[in-house]
Amino acid sequence: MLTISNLSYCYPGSTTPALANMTLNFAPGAIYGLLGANGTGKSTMLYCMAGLLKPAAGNAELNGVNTFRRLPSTLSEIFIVPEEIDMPPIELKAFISQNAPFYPNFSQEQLNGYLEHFRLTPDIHLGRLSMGQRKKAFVAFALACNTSIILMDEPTNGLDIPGKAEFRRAVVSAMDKGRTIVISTHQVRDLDRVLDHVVMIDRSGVVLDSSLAHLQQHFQFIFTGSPADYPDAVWSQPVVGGYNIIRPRVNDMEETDVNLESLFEFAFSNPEIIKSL
Amino acid sequence: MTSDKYSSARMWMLTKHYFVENRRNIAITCGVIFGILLLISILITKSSYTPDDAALLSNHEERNMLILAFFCMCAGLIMQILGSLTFSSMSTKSKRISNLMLPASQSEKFISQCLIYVVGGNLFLIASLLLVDTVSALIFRMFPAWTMIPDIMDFTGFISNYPYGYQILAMLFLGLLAMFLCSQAIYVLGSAWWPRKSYLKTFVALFVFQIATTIIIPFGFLINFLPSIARIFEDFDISIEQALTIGWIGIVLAYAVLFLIYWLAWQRYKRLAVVKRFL
Repeated sequence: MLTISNLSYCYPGSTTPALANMTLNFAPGAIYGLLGANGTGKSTMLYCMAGLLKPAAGNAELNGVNTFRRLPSTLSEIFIVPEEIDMPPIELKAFISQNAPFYPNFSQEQLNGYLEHFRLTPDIHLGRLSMGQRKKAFVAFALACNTSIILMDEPTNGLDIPGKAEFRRAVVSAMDKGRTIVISTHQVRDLDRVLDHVVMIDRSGVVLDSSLAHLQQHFQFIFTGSPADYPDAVWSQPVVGGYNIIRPRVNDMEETDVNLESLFEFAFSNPEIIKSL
Repeated sequence: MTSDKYSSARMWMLTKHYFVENRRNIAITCGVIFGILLLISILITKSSYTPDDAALLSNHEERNMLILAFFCMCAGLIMQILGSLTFSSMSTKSKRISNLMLPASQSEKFISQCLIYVVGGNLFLIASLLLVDTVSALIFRMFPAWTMIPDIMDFTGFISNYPYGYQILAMLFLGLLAMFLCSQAIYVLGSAWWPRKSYLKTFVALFVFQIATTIIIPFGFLINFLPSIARIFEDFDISIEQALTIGWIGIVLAYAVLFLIYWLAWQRYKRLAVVKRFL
């Protein structure tokens, strides 16, 4: 399990902390969505979780080992897919032959499946790929490494429309009960059907940390032409063609999909209701 | 590959990884090094001979000494450049992420990169210095107008004919080597400190440091203490044995400094994170 305890981080030369006193647990078997406004420290948090940054206070631990120690045994269990990917200008199969041996659970068979899924072949040259194709190749490799933690920073940036759908399918198919995937994104529509759990943060700390199933139990997310029909709504927002509303869900009310955009706005405008969950 | 601190199998795998992923840049660097040395050798040889030259032997010696001097200068510069490339895998944020997340220990990453750019680079440089002269001689043989073919430089002859004995020769060799390696190590340290545009930044930092240490500080020191220092050396008499002992101590100190610089580079390297801090 990946845990972060009282984690704070301040960038060099800045007096304002990018992360303040974050405490979270990332349990195996779930896909976490890490959401927050621009500049609230989502990437910083991923870097701290991966051991790429030394926290000013607190720590991130994978199975009790501080990730900043960057032990090979820890690094072989964490894979990060950054927003901007650096891949050497060599053939994909050469890249795989040089990198795969570092990951004891790497599966060539799975990689071939993911590559096929993304419509790529192992003999492509990484130096001649577009940003989106490079990202697909990297994601395929990341998933095939079978690390227990995969951290993804804006993974759908640069992907075309079919690519986003391929990505969602690949991520869902790669999930098993021993694996945790954390996806930091502000493009919630690309991923809302993939996530099991949502974490929302701002500079002051964690605003929401809840499974989508739990949220579905407590709220209904409705799109309506007339918000007056729902007098018990706790939140409503005009959108094109109507209103998105959130209302408490009680007893026999129908379960709805979580609208992450509405939830995001609701969570930041009503932190006291969210905290009471 | 179970150790979390050091595994030789993993380190060799890592060295191969760095080599394969940077093979294009390494090939370009090697090509440029060989090309520059070959060009120098050809230009010096061409300027040392004329087709109707009568004094061939003296021209050989003149050419050999000139080439040796230029090679020494080039070797120093090339070693510095190789040193500044050592941690080029940390030059951008995305490269730092790839490198730091690779499942190997920091010591293995440090050693692997030093092996490629410092050890491998220096071995390539030595091989180039030896090979370039032969290649340039072969090139000259291709032109019939140049009947006075230059000798290939005989390094062993230089050693066997050295007039001051093997101990001084060894001291000279080890001293020069220490000087070259220390100057390279400073650039390796610079590469750990500033992986991006490392050579330029280290050069400027060294320049500022040298200005401070060789002009400003000694100037103030000498003005105040020169008369008393001069008095110490008035009756200073030193035997050959004492000079040799001082020389050897100096060489040992130079290698200690070399070790210290690499230790500092290691300390800096293991603290590198995805966002750079000054310390």
